[in-house]
Amino acid sequence: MRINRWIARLGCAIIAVVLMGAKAPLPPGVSTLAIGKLATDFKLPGTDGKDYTYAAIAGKIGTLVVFTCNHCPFAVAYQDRLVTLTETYTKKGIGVAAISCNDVRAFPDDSFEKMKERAASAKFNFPYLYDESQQIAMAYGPTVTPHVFLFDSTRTLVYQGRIDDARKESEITKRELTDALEALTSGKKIGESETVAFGCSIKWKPEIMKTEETEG
Amino acid sequence: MNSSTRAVVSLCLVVYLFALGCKAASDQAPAGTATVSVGGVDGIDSLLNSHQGRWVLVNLWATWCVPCVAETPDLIALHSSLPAERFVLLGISMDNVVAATIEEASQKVSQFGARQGLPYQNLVYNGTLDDIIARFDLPGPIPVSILYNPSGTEHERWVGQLAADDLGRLRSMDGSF
Repeated sequence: MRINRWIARLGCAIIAVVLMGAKAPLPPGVSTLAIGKLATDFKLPGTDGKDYTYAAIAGKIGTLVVFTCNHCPFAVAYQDRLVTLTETYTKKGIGVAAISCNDVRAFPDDSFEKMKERAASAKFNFPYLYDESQQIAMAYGPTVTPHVFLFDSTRTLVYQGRIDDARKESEITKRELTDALEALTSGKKIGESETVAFGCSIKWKPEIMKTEETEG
Repeated sequence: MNSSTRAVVSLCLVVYLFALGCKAASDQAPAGTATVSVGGVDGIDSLLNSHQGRWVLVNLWATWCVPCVAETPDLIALHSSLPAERFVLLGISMDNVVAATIEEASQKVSQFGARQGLPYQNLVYNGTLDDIIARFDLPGPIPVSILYNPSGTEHERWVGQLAADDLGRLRSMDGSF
């Protein structure tokens, strides 16, 4: 009996390792959008009272979709940088939108009302959209906030991951998103197309995760 | 100096020393709270090497991470339930990626540790994101918990808050030590 119990435990451990690996937990059947895949269309409400589709935010050269939120200090620390990037690259034909998709029952600071306050106080110069159902998040598969997805003019994903390698301006040595934007807007090949996005986990609804685990 | 002056000076000195003692005591963490150090990947490696021969659970976390804070009481209970001579819990705080300075990050972790009575050692990571992502093959979100066997090989990892059955399984590993 004792041996059987240990065999069962070992089996569970192996299954867990195979299932989880080193990847961030995502809802069953969901994976992070792969380079070369097309952007999923959406229609989401913005904090300015308008609804936005992908086509409405798309730029002539490309489109940047950023999953972010209010409650995560790491994501908040990057919001000024997003405003600056938007200012620079909308002039070069890049459309930008930010999407907040966290479960607001567990994280009330991410509510639509609080999003409106943040968009105003942080002077967002891009639409701040609310994905209440998490269906769009499931289509893109962000693992953290902030997690960025850059598409070209044909809606093909050309970069996904982080903004850069350090939250503190003085410590930045790699600016992968800026490099990708520069390459895209100047018709060059993007060097690094995927990076690990660090930050706060996406707060999926328990009914979407369909698991007892509260992911981090 | 006459005897009454000496008595007043002595009394003042006693009061002053007593006040100093009280302040020092108030700055200290509660009894049982473990140390907080600062270091990069090298510091983490030397800590892990110093624990070879024991099972080590590394917990990457931050005071700004809600699920990390939520699982702290479970980690404290786990630490208390397993024998220290065979099991070590090592916290690696990522507070510095949000804090303005490493001193601020260290202070946040120390204050949190004192409030919670964290009984296990914590290192506040002071290095680049790339270095720590590469060192632990991190997927992005925290918390991440990684269990190393006594020879220092990764045995299992969990991304996200440890679930009740994971904690139960870790506690039950006492039999395999």
